[in-house]
Amino acid sequence: MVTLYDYELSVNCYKVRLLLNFLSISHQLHPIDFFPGWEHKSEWFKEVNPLGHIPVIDDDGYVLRDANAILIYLATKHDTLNSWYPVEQPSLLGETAQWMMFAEGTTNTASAARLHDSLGYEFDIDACRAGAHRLFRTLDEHLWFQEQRNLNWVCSAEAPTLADLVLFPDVILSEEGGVNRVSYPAIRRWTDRFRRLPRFTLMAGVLEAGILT
Amino acid sequence: MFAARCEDAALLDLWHPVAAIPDVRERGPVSTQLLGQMLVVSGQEGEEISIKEFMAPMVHGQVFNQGREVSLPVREAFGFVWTSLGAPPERLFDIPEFHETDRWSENSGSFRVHTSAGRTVENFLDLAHFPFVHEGYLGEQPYTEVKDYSVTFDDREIWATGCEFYQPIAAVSATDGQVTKYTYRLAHPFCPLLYKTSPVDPKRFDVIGIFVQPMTEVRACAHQFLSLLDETNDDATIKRFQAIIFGQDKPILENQVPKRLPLGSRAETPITADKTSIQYRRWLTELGISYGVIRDNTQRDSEPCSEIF
Amino acid sequence: MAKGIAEWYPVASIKDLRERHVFQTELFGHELVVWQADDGYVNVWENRCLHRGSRLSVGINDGAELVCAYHGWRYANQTAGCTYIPAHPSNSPARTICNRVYPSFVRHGFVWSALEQCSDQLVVELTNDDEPLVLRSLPLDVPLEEVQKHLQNCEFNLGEGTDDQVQKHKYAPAVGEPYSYKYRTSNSSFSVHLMLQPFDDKKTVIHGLVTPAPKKESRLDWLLSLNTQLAKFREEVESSISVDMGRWLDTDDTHAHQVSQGAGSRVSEMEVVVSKRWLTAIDIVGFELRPVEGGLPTFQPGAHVDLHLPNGLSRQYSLINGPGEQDRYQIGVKLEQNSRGGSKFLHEELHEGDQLLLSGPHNNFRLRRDTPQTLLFAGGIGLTPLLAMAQALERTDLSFILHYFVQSSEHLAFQERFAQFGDQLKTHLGLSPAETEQRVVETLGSYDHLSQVYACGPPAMISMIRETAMSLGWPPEAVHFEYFKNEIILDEFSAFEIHLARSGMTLSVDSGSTILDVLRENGVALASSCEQGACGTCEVGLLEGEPNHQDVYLNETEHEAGTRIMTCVSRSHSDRLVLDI
Repeated sequence: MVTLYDYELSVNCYKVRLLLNFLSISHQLHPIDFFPGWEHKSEWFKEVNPLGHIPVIDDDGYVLRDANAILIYLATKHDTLNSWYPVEQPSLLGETAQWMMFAEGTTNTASAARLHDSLGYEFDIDACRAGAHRLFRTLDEHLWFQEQRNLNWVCSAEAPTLADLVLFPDVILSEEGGVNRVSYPAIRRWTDRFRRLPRFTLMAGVLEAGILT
Repeated sequence: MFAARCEDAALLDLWHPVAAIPDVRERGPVSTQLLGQMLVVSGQEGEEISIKEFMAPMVHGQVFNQGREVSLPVREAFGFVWTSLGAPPERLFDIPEFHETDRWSENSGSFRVHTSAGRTVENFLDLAHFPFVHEGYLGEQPYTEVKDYSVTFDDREIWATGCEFYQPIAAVSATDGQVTKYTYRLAHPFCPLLYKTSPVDPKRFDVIGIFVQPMTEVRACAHQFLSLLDETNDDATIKRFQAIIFGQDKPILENQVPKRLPLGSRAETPITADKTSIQYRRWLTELGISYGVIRDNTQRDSEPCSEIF
Repeated sequence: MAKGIAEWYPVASIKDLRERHVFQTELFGHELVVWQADDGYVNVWENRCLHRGSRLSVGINDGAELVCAYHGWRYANQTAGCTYIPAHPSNSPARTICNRVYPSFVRHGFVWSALEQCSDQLVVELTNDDEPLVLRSLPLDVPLEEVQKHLQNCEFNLGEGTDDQVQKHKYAPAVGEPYSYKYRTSNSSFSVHLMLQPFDDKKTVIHGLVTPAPKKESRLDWLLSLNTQLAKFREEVESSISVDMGRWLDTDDTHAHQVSQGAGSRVSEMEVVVSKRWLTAIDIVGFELRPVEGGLPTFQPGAHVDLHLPNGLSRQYSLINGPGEQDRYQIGVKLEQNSRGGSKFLHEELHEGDQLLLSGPHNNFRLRRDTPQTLLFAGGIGLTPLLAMAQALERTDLSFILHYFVQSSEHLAFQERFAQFGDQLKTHLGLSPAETEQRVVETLGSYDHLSQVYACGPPAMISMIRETAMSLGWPPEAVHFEYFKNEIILDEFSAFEIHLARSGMTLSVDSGSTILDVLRENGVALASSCEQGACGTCEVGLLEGEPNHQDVYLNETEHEAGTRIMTCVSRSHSDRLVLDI
């Protein structure tokens, strides 16, 4: 059984929750009072993760921190189709890793802006927003041309990959940090497609896209 | 970028919440905004809490160094620090339940939201959005009907009583759906409280509230307050529930246009279920507030039938 | 900013709207929501729910209606009229609850819209009928004038990756504002049009197309090449102006948000034309009615219209349309044995192309959607309102069964709409009254608190269903019915008089009409909005009398004081009210 040390409103925890559900991995949540209690900085939690960060998973005693590491571990272990993290297709795996690195950028800009606006974190908000817009322009252009090639996802595959999964939370919650998506129609359509995936789970702050029949 | 200055005596003279006490004591000083003014709330453990207002224009959230500092009145209540920019009254409203010894009361987070304080309060008073915004938590489709309830407004408080709604999980200590009874109380223009039957003692009430700090005309901070009889759930689980509820409201609140609350009776389309907010908008109108709201310029003062003939 | 408002601008490409996407954009700072219904119709509305100002762009396009994310209010395709308010499942939304619709049409692969109705003159008219190749639209964080200034000096490299010499033309539209630029390849085989959408005072969108569309295998190269050049152009223009860092900050209510209420709170008679008539079952003719001018008013499932026949008769017929089918109304008319000229006239004298007057729709047979299950019992022509209900329920997660009782399979009407229901439609053929009752008993079962029943058909059948339901423990509030012969069901309040103190008029308010109705009929132009006692618009002062308050606008103290009254819903306990007007 996987235990996730989790905070509902954290984008990085949401990434892990999404994959746990997409792959129907049996798990339990251990809620951490991240805000306002700062439980992730408590003495007991530092024994779980000395860095004082969430998410962390405990998979029957195997403890792993950092969203990307957890996602790669879970996808490699549980995804029998190897589509989320396509280890058997080197070029696709490279693409996936490239866009996962890109998502580090969106987390450090769009999601940082959100922490500033929602929870009062002291970041350079103008720099965060401007950085997020620069990355969103790149992503929108990429996704628009993917559509022209009849591709629905960030990487050139039929199915979504971890690249889509790690980008989605930063993108869908960006407006909480004042990063408006009105200028990125291809990104907005991609968020519809992602939200319509089977076993997709909402988090507080993410709205439904409606069904397509 | 200059934040608009509030000129409304009714708001300047109010007590406003500006920070949770632990945030100041353990992680302070806290810098924040109130009615467009920059404040710093400080006071480590063992010190008196003090609040300074920086009388300087704010540029991109940063205060120019040469700003003049002014000390503001300080009051501690319900786990929060309160202050005022004007001449506040002696009294702050009371929450009698807060003083009962067998409950635990606490701050469950101060969340900022990019809309006016008025919109935030109105959302808190609203039942009809439960099955849509809080589906699976406070409501469930198709159980969408808002049954009639009564609203009174006297002695400077609005009360909405006899409210009923079907809820799948009315609180974390509830394990299945039930029709939950509510009473709403608005004892301060920005501090709505909700009394609901406690799942552990049907004769008593849990009290949940938000103390909304109007940071600017279109930004607010909702300080969440809880006073519960619940003994079965741990702190993190209850706070998680509250964080989910506010997190679900946030994108809804931030997508309301205009952000300032329109007070004109024809600016939006109230329905029977909106009785409480109808009274709330009228109260703000009577208080003469113009900060963070859009007043009805076409109001038909004492001549309600001017459009006739 | 006033310049250029009454012109057409591209606001989205049609491909932007695929797969029920709810598209969001702005025109001169006015927020627009653009969505396409499953029937292909493209809606361009103000991006704002009338109830609490929520952006509809965060709502859901269900293929026929746009649903607000905050309280689930539903707005109909085409008309933008509100069809359902979930907080009050048994009420019909007032006709005034209609979102603002901007003029729009689809051409050359784009959705064009304007803030005001304007001439047919488009900034780009293509002679070629083929669909052009639509470029990726590019938003620039630059005001319109700056984009125009730079575009005049900008050259683009056109052609399939070649350095084909470009001839550049500035295309000046007849209306005199340069919103469109045209470029040709040297051999003139292709032209590229760039069109500007004034988004707001800080932002402009460049839309573009290539005509004729290049052959399929080279399209991606064209798109990539022009996108690269436009992105470079954007970089130059954006860096040439002093960029205010504040442009990334949200603009807080800088735009004037005007209060919009749909036009025409009172729709009187309108002209419609019979666009189709067909025999749909024995003795039942289907009529399809389209407006002679403009659009048809929003309807809700269960609603009926009044047809005003040339022979002076008025007859009520239920609409069978599914949600969002707003371009036409369909009704079914059964030839009555003892017709006094209604159904007989329609059957014998009303042909395709004929015009007649219609009023409504009205809805006294309202479909609640707040229980998990719905049972619909139709007898013969009583199918019509229930067919509309079944189609509305089909679009929700709620389960329903439509039981349709007829004499034989030749009597089954409107079968073209049945496929969508699958096994949610049960037809019962040729049952005797006793067998019908037995079937109803089996189907209803005892009351389960989870279902609502709707019945329409011959009066004897409705009465039987009501009695059966009652004997099985169903409460009256869960059993809804509409008697077939559309006799208006008068409301239960007794009549009273109103005296207008200032004008000295005394008027009587009869059962079935409201004070507001009577005032209006007598030339008193009282404003109203919600017409359900919530908004306070139709308030008047009260000088004498004992009011029967039925509004929620005034609080209880004010109700007791009895000095004000909401004329749309409140009535009188006393014989007379004296109003301060």
